[in-house]
Amino acid sequence: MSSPELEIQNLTVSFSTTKGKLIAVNGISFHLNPGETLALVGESGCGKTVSALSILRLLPEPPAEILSGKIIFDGQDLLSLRAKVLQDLRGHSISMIFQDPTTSLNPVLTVGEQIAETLLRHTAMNRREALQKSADLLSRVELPSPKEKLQYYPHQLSGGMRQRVMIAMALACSPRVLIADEPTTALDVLIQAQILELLRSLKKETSILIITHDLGVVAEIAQRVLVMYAGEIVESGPAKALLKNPFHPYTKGLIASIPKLGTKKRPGARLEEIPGNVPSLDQRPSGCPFHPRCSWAMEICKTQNPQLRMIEAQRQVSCHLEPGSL
Amino acid sequence: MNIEELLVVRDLKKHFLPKKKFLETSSAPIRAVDGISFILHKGETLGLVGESGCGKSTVARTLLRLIEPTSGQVSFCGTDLFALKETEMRNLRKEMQIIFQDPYSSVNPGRRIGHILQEPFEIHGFRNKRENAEKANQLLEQVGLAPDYFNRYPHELSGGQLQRVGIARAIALNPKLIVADEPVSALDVSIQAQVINLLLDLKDKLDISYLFISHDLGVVEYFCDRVAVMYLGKIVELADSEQIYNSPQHPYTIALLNAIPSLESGRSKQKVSLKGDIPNPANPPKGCAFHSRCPIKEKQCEEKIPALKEIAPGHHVACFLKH
Repeated sequence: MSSPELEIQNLTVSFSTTKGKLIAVNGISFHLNPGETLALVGESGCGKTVSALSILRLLPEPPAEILSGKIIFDGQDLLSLRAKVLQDLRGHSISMIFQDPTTSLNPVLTVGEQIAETLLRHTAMNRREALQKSADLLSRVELPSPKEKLQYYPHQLSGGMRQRVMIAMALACSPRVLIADEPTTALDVLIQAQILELLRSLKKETSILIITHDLGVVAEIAQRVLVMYAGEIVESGPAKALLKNPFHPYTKGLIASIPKLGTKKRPGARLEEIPGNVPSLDQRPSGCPFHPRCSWAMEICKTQNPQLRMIEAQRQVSCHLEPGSL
Repeated sequence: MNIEELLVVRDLKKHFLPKKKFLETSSAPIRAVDGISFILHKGETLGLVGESGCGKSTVARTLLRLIEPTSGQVSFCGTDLFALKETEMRNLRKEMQIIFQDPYSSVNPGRRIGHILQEPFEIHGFRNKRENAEKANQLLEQVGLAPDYFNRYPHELSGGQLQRVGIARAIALNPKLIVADEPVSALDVSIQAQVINLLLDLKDKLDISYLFISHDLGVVEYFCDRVAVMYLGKIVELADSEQIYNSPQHPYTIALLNAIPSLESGRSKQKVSLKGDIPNPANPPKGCAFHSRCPIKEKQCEEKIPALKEIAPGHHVACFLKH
């Protein structure tokens, strides 16, 4: 098997707050294979965005602090690199797109200037070449009349078009890894479908780490999934198998609580729900963090946090239950 | 069976006039809601779906006269709402309440939850403080919150808990109608299901009718008896939930249903994703507003506007090709 494009080992991230040091990501490890689309799924506050931002050291430190871990890319640990070297990587070998394209673009620069900026920083192109390449990139992301659009300011574009501009910027230097943090959450379903189609077409060019809360998006685009809860990975595996036959009670609950299209409701039928709330960082339960909301919880779950263990080929789960007993 | 009509909306319009720019004589109005009609029966849940900018929230606000309509008629239990004076309208608001999308921005952050829940009673002339507090406590119980939330502040609650407060406030005065404007969109998946279940329970217990506004077709199918699909300020399809989901007719509805990511990957749906964006409502395309994105348009669609016609019992579609 080829070596992974990106490997995260035992990453722990904390935030200093008035309530003390809170652990947002608790010793997670995963890898991204070349040409793979990997999804990181979880609800708000589970640490998925913090994990992604740590990869490029984009978290404000302080209050954030990476307590332990390694992020291996190209044989080196990104966490040990100097800021200058990291700067050369960002947008070049690893790039990122964010949830809200409106706040991620500079409102007073034209689209062309913003895409060209990346190219001028990382390549030997001159301004004219960079603008030409920017237009090519815009047509790559299927923005109509790309040459004209170079002159546009972000406010002249719709949300979907702005997200296309963000993707064009991210692709400018043909990165090996693309990190997409909730790229379609702020968009309407029809536009979401277009952007997902675009991301799917990028698979051959780059490995993608997509962060989302939407299991539908996962099913559409990802080969492999990591499910996060309270700063930990609770289950991982190939997307199809995991969604069809989840092993962790949380994953199962999450899937069940989505109203599925075409499943005719009986009158008065209720949706399956996961009781309780997502624990906040300062109220982390003891033992397995999911046990207060889990209907299968046993005595051992209250005291011992289960380790992520291999259940079958490529499938891992951290749960004390026997797999398949759900 | 004779079903009572609770809310009758006739040709409702709301046009916003953008600010005039320097030296500009007049600017085109934004036709946020451009002539929509529907009836909401007692005990029914009607879903209003569409993309952002299609005018669904404007419908909600105009119905409750939170903003004034441009034209049209809305009658609630036989009363013409737009003929009422401000004070009469305020009295009637007891009967019609609204739940907003973002629970954090719809409550006063400086007030305790108990106070927030007593406010509807105070506004509507219930002066007995002890009784009001008691009622607020009952409301907490009804929406599944522990009594100790009474003295907490909004920032101490999670989004799901705070949305329960929003719901409690809406049901405080025993309304007949609740307009729920994207009530679960801001919530996490596992919390969405809880809130939807709560709304369903209250519907049965308190005999409430809902106008449920959402962009999430999955939630709407689950929750609603009938569904109206909006595009650029107009209703393009209106039918029973079952008809909409099993045999959608309007090409826009079909595209919307197709675009929803499905959990079963590789299911046999033809991927006809629509090109382009929703047009600018200040300058909508001539003829059928959808023709610029429609995969099956004909010549006449560019010239004439299709009316919303009944093509099967209870199934209304605004499309020439389906008439």
